Amino acid sequence: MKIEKIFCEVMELDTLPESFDSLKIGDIKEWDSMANMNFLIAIEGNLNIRFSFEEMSELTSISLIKLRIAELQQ
Amino acid sequence: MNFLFSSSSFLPVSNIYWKKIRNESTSLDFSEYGNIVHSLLSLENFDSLIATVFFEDIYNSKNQNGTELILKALKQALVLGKPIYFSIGHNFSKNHITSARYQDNENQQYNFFKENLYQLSLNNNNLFIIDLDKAFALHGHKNIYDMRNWYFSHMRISHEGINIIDNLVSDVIKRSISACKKVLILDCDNTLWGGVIGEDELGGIAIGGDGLGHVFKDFQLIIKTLKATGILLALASKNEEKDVWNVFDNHNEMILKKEDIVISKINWLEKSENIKQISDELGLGLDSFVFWDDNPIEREKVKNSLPDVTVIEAPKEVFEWPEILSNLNEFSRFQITTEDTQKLEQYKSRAKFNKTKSDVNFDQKEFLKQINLKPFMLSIDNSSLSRSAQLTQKTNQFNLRTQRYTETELQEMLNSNDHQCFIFSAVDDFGDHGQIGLSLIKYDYDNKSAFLDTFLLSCRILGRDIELWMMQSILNKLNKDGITILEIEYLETERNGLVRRFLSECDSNFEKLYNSGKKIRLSTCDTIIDVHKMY
Repeated sequence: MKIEKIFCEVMELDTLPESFDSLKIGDIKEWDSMANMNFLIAIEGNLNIRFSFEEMSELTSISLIKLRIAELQQ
Repeated sequence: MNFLFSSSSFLPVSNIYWKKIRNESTSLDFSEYGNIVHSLLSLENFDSLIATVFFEDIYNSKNQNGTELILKALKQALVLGKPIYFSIGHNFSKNHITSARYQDNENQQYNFFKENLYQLSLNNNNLFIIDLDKAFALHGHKNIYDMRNWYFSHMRISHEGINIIDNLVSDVIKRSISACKKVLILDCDNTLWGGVIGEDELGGIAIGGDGLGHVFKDFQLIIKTLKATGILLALASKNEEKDVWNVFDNHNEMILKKEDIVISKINWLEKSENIKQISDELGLGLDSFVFWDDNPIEREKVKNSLPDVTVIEAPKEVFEWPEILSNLNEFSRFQITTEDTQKLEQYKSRAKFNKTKSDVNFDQKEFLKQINLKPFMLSIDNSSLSRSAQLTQKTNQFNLRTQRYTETELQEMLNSNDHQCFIFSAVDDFGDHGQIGLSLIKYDYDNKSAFLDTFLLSCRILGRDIELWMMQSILNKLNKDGITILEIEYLETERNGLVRRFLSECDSNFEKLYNSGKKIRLSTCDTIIDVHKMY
């Protein structure tokens, strides 16, 4: 599953928000800290990667998350 | 069903999780975590509860979440009769030295708690216990219990753990609302034995002994066990028929015997054709069939032409087969009734019956007199409750309104003053057919009328006019009870067309009434048939 689809499912959105790549936590009301954790855990499960304890609180924007995914998938 | 989901520690609730459980439900509400007791006590507002408990959350806890309080609340909630799916797991101590001499206290408490749950389930068939430990062990505890998630968010498990719980719970929900499969269709060459009988001959096939022969023998043992629990076995094999029976009759390592097989189609036709015929002859829908064949091409063909049949993707590694078959969800049930175990004989006698019936110069009335048929009508009691529920859930063809009931719901009817519930059984020269019919009647004493809530007959017994006998016996009983009118409503489904013909026999105006949306009203003094002269 792609991160865009995971995002929509976790946040329970029908369509991807505009300028998705520059979105960060709090920009839409659905994305609070709880949703952020659900999002990160769903990414882990679907992309078979794992974030560290610190990353669980630091990764709070799409750009940071995508960057980290790319690093982990290398 | 509207489900309430409650867990002892945090679990995520968004749509990306619990997809399979969502599939089984009309709505899924999540209660605040850590409050199992409260959820149990608010079950009135829902149809069913899914509770997920990690023992470490409730062990030693004196608060709302303690083990004793949970058991007490569970007992109370079960009285409502609504299904409760209770999953329980424990991230046990992993040190092997401390457990070398004594079981640690937490473990003891855990086993005690689980024991208590199973005790409760003995008396409450609406309690379903889902043992998470087994499945978690299978996937590796270290992949499931996740300390990062625990310290980060009070979630004990990983994404994988969530998916496992979703799978297990939805499997159990599914089985609690629909019956398991009834027939296992088997190929022969390289499925029941190694090799091809037409080429390798009796001495050359692998069955028994060491190696692969041992695997096929064990596979047959599992098949035999399934048969003992009432699963019907049929053969669909591309072979010369005499070759196959030669193996069954003359190979002394064969576990399966010819008499274990209810129907066989051994010829060179397409298997899908043969399977369709088996379905017709047994009077069982294709959706109750499971097909096992080592050949992926045969599997693909059956899958394409008969999408209702469950085709097992048997791996190339034959040694995996016995374990796969014995753990197949398709044949798993919560309990096995005596009725289940007698099925083979009943279906066989039915096949014999059909054969006799298709003889020339057949006179149905005379025939029925000759076979010494004796039907019985009994009020449902505790001993027939589980079979009664099963009949409402499994019967599709001869079923007036196709209302499905659980044991608990039937129990409620029995306890009420305005219902009479009857189960019907029959014996004849072709065998003891067991409990094959059911009728639930709602009385309205004030208006001297009654409503036929359920009227069904297992299709394997059709062709003996038992449905007429049942209807007449019900009318006679109602008449004795001071009821004058029986209201009959037919709810059409894709599969219960048989009932339509029968209703026309009861009331020649049925089609007219039905087409104008009206119910039939039979007078209880009517005689549809003279029950004393029938058989």
